[in-house]
Amino acid sequence: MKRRIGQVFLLVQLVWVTLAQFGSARWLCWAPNDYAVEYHLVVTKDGQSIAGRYKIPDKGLYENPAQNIIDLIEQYERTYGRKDRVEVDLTYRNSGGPDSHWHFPEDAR
Amino acid sequence: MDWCKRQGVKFTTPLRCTGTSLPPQLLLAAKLLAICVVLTGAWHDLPDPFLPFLSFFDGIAGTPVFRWVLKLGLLTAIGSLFLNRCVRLSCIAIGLVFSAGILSSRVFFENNILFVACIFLLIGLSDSPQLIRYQLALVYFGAGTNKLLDAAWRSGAFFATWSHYAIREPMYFVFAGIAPRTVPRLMCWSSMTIELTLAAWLLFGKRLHGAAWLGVSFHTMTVFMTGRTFGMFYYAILVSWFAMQAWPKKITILYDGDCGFCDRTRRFFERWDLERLQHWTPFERPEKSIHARIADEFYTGFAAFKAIIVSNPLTYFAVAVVLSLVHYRWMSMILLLTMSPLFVPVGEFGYRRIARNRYRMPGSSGECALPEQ
Repeated sequence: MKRRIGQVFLLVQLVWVTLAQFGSARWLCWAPNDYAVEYHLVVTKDGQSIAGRYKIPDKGLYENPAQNIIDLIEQYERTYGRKDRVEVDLTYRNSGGPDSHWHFPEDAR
Repeated sequence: MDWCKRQGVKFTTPLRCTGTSLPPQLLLAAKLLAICVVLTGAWHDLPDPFLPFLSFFDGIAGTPVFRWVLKLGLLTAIGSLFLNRCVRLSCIAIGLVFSAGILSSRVFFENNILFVACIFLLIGLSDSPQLIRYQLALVYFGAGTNKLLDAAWRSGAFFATWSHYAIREPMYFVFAGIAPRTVPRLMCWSSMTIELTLAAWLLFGKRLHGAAWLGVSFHTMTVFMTGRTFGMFYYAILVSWFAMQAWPKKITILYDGDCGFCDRTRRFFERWDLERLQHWTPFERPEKSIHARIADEFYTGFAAFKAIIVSNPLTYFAVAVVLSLVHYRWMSMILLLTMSPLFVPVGEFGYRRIARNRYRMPGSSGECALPEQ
């Protein structure tokens, strides 16, 4: 019985790892430190710049996909910050590639 | 103290791994990883709920209660593990604590924490190392496949960018300066190849000794190059490979019983042979060097000395403590080299010097019979 539970646990992971390849985020899919995303986050609330809103550094190297940062921002603004008037500007580039921009709330899903 | 006596708990219990419901190799692996969790301070980073994967955690956000419950649960489970009480439940509890921490906070999520959680959960569910083996295969498969499908990895662009942030070894930049496109691409393809090779070896290979050396060397080299253990990842990987090795068999050691220094050495090793795996017997006639036999394997000289050390589980407790506390990127490389076949000629040289002069060593009576040269 214990072994069966362990086997099912591994099987769930295998399915998750496979399905993750069809999305842009990489939560829970065994892609450790596979990304070199240089990013810069600018958050303004009521016209004032604020730092550390999402408990991640406002700039630096992020070793997961940029979509993960976007997921954090969207979830925060959809829940804890839904009453705030916040604008977020995320500039990032992956592995030295061209700059990409993501802006909240315009680009949010 | 009375409670300890009634429960059969001795002061050596935390360092013993036999006599529980878990196979001793798996219990040892769990204890080693638990030592790393405590000494690296990973237990202290358990989070408050914040941007959870599961929304119901938001209902308990805003107070430190959740975080303190996690920490208390974790330390209690680790304590129980070291007292050899409810070891399976303890491992599962440790795994669930880390899982709860991850599910309660996307910011806390890191692959290394998830890996630690999986290892503890699977040890708790295991009667053999098979589940650990397949977990490791899955990690290598996931990591290798993800890289292979990423254009930045295939072109080397990832390493060209990442190296400026992560690599601490100056020699890398010397080579990268000579071949700025080739070296990053080579590093990327080496990583992918090694990870996918290890995945295949773990899934289909019959003997894993070579795979263990490849895996441990790969990760140790990464630590050396970057000066990072990637959180708990390096420790969890070492423990996973270690969990798949066989529990040490009984070892018979033949030594020079007339030599005071040798006898003092024997008493030292016997004192720390908590699992009673060693059987020391004096030579019937003088020999040049110590002999050791494990099953059908026979060792002499430094190789015998090394066999005595690596067959004692306490050695690995010491290694875990050193790796957890000494944050020096050469340390893991030094430990790997000393345990590898590369160190044998050096060790043999040192052993012969000591063996030739053992009658002059501390503890010698000066009346040791010397073997004929």
